[in-house]
Amino acid sequence: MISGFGVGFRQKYRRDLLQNEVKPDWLELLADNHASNLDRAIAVEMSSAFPIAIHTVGMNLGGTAPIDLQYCRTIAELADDCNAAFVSDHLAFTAVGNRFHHDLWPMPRTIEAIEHLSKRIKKVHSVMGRPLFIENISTYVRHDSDQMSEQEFLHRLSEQSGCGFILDLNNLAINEFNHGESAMEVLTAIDPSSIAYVHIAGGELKNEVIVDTHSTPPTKQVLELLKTMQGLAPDLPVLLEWDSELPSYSELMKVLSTSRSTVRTDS
Amino acid sequence: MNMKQMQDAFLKSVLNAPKGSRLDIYRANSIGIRVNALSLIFPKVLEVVGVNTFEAVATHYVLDFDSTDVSLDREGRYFEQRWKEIISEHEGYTELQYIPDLVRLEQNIHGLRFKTPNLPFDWESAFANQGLDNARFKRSDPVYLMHSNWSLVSLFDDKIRHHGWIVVRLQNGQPKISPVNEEMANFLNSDQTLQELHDSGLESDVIESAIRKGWVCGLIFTETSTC
Repeated sequence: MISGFGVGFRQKYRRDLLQNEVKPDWLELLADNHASNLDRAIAVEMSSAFPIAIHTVGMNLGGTAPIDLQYCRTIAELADDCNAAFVSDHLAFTAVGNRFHHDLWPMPRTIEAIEHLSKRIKKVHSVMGRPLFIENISTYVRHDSDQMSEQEFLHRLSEQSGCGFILDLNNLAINEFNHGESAMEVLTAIDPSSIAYVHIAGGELKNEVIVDTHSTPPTKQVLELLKTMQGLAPDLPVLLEWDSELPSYSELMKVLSTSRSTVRTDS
Repeated sequence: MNMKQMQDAFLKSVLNAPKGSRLDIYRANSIGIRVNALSLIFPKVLEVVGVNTFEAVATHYVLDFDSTDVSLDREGRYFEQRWKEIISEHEGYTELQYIPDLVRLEQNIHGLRFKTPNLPFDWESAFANQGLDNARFKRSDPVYLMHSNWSLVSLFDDKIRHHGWIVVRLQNGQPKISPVNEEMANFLNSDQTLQELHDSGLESDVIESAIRKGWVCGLIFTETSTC
């Protein structure tokens, strides 16, 4: 079980996580960084010290190439080895046909996309023998073919596929800035019992668009969303993501502590 | 428009997006992710040529070669070839002639992370087998042997200036590079039976040294292996 405030594991923090007195409550491991035997051993080492959730970027759930069964099995094995509480990937396509761009490209919010995603999510469920949780993404464009709002899309997807969510509050905030879609409306429309945990992070403003860089602390707006979320589901675990321009361990822990205390003070 | 057509069209729009547009963020992200992967696989190459040159070469590389693999760990399949071309085409790069060899070395160091460590050599069970003369030594999987005309080892250990054969393995996740002589390299590279090795006059201390260092892990028999 995971609870409280966690951070995304990065090699840079390995020693501090094992030796420092100040620690997060749990870790999220990006499985794609732990594919090798050496890195798998590191993942298992961390799982002996922390509760673990496994996150991935390679399932290509929205793509049209067949689901990579070997990849799913490898992820499931890693999750078993680490006794992971959750396994998750993104509501996106990361390849066009067999050409991987490795970035999270947005799905059209259509009935066809829900059917397409649901079939593939169910396939992953059955291959892994465990539920797959889906993370909402930030986007820089919307498709002209969109037929519904983000909240309706997520709701219908959950209904049809049976999936739960990793709700990324930063992505909701970015989409509000980039598209004028109310983050609070999406957040309050999702059934909290379908959420495994929430992500918080910070992006960067570039050319009048916020890019989801995970290189800055969560903004005030993200922390506001977190407060609302905690009001709706007080025990929901929280994960601080930081993927580029990594701060020192002490700075990271300070940001985690600030996020934690912001919520506590006002709750 | 079905899902495949939609995604093909989206890719086309991203590839042709005006610089600085919202769609161009996807193009830049994709390039950035793959260039970053190359920098993680080839950290010494990056250190030697500098960030600007590395990123310029890596960016051209990812634009020229699509990624067809879910794993970013397998990026750079043609990176060695690309550096050979660059060095042969640009006079200013003649001092960097060792880079293709360094690329190959780092690619294999990265590959060693995926190998399963072999059990230590078990003399007793190895020699309990019959038909020993026809057995061959099995080189340990997490060991890589290469030859270079350049002193690559000095890039990892500035005390050792050496060119020729080197044995590479990982120790606590870090590359450990050991210069070896021709005799050891021949032994590790050869597929000779014990009888053939004996007949060749190979000194037994070469074999013992390879076993002690974990470069060979057992014997391969006609049908079974001790590994």
